[in-house]
Amino acid sequence: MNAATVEAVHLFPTTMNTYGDRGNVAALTRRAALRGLAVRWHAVELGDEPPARCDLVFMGGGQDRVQHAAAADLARLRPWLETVIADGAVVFAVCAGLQLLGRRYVAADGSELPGLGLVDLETLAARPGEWRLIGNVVADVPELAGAGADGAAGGSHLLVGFENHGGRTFLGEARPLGHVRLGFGNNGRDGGEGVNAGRLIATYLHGPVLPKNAWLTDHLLSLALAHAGGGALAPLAHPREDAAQREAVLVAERDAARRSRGRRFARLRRRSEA
Amino acid sequence: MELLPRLTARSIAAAVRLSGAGQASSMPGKAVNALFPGYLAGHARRLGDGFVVVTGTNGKTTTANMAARALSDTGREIVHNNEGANLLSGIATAFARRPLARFALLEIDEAIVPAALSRLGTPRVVVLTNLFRDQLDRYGEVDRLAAGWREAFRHLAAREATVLVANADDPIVTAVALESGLPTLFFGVDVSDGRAEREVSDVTICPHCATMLEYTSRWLSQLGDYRCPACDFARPPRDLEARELRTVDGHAEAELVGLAAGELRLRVPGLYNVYNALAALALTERLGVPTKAALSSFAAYQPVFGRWSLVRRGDTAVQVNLVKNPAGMNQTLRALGDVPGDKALVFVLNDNIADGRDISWIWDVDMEELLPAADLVVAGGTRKHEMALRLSYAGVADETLATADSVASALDLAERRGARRVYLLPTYTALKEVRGALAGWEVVRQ
Repeated sequence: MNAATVEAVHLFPTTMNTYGDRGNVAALTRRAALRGLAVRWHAVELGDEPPARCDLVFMGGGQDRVQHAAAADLARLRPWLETVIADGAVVFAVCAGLQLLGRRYVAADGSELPGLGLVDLETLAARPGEWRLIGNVVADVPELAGAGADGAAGGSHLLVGFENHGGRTFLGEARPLGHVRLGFGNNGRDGGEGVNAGRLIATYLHGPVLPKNAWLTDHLLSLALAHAGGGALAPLAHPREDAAQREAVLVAERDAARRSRGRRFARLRRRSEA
Repeated sequence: MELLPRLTARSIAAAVRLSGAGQASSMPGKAVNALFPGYLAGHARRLGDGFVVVTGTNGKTTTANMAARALSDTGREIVHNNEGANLLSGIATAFARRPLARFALLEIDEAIVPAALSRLGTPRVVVLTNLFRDQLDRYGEVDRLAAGWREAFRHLAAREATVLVANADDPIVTAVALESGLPTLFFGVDVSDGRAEREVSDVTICPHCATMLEYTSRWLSQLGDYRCPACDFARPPRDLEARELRTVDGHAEAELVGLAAGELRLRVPGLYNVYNALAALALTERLGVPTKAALSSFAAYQPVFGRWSLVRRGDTAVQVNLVKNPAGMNQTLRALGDVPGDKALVFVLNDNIADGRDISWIWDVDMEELLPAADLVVAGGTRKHEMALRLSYAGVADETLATADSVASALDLAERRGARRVYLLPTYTALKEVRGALAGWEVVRQ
């Protein structure tokens, strides 16, 4: 095997494919290719056998009905996942993928869908009267541990994307990936966004998240490349990615300003009616 | 007593037009619905010849407009919300404009079908075009829209007065139609060499038993020749089918077999316009329009602004087509790939509420496969940098790729670069800016 080839598994690409999450695959492939590295993607659909070893596992979000099918099939894949994680592969999951990595998902009627239990988190479905958490998000990410000498993970970072989830996720011992500046994050209460368990990183952010957060793409690539025995990731500029990120921050600020104008107007109206 | 609602609608329409705010296709009805909550239900009940509904994600406006054209050409007096104003406000506006028409052809937003039918009553026909991912932040996922349709059709089944016209190639539309128990005319196309294997699909598992569907050919998102390997769910036989699809000189053509046989010729390109014509034809057949008359109406049908409409200034021709979701964009790009010659592409991506705040859908478009070769590719709109990033990742070279702050400046750039043929692909709210930027251009009949 060529050391400069990253073996990557895309879990359930046909069923868990909503909200542009395929763009994450495009980002990893693209930023690797620009450095002369290859990412070989292995599509593992429901019921498929995964490759024996890999450097990176990606799972996106899906509609509610397919999420149940995915949960059932993940139970089958659990021993394989535990093996590749113990071996040091990187796992990156988005939205439903984040929920499935946790201990359990508690539905509105109190019934429980067991998760993989790979991360100490659990998710509660929206209670009656609770809204879906939808909108543009800007989060601050503190310095990441365990990054290579690529410079990608040095210092703090901005994380932008679009969230759309009913479930509220609460972390136990695990650390969040970032802290929301604008938007709801994991549960709309504690300000946490996503989870960062070292080689296992997950986020609620679609958008898709990786294309306009080049530092995160590079961080995942550097971990995967190190695991593949390919050494350090070469530095690579990201002007277009940064322009898209700045634009996403601006629209998140625009939305927040609109919401606060709406709230002020509602307050004024209540006052004038009182 | 409809005089007051009509006067209300008329005065508001006059005010909107005077203020230059638009075409007054929804504000008047909004006011009428607020002031006279029983207006829609009352008016719908008094329609002597009843009403029909066209709904689905893509193709509603063109399907309804084609059917309306065939109905008017054969002398029917109809009321029709023909400007794509497909919420309750647009329907009320249309009713108030033509209070004496005995028959209504209503385009209805796919997300408000339950609410609309609970007010309007029992339609004679409901046309279901397709269900694709579209504005996920507003509408939710495809499964949730289908649940709304199921609920609405349960009420119709008991009344035994409605016929469905449904897309047999779409498994989710088919499942909803079959479960409804309503008599259904299925339409579809025959494309044995579908090329959509890599396209993102919203219906990948069987609507009945959740097994992965199998396709012998898939041509557009989840549209194709499908069957479930585990249960008896499969693409139903088509009552009306288009075969031997081809694009000649930018015009779509096909052979029709089934309840209406003949030669289909359109002035617009693309597979999805064939679908629009099939749905419109099944509807007009049901309403008693002779096949030949309907086909000649479709052959003369000129697209409305923003649906493959064509304008010209000097040496530069601009063709505008609204794009708002991956299925529509894939089809648009595929149609452009069939058009020979040099071209410039302008994408205008807005993320206002009516477009959907979530613009992730551009990453679900099969750009890598379908983006046609172009001399110039411009990204515009409120999310121009995200669009440019998408295009760059799809392989558009930096020398070819530009961003523009406005539609007018994108067109200037194209003209300066000597582009003879520009394809302008705006999202919903960007269409208004496009209309303004092209105001002085000469409209070309196709």
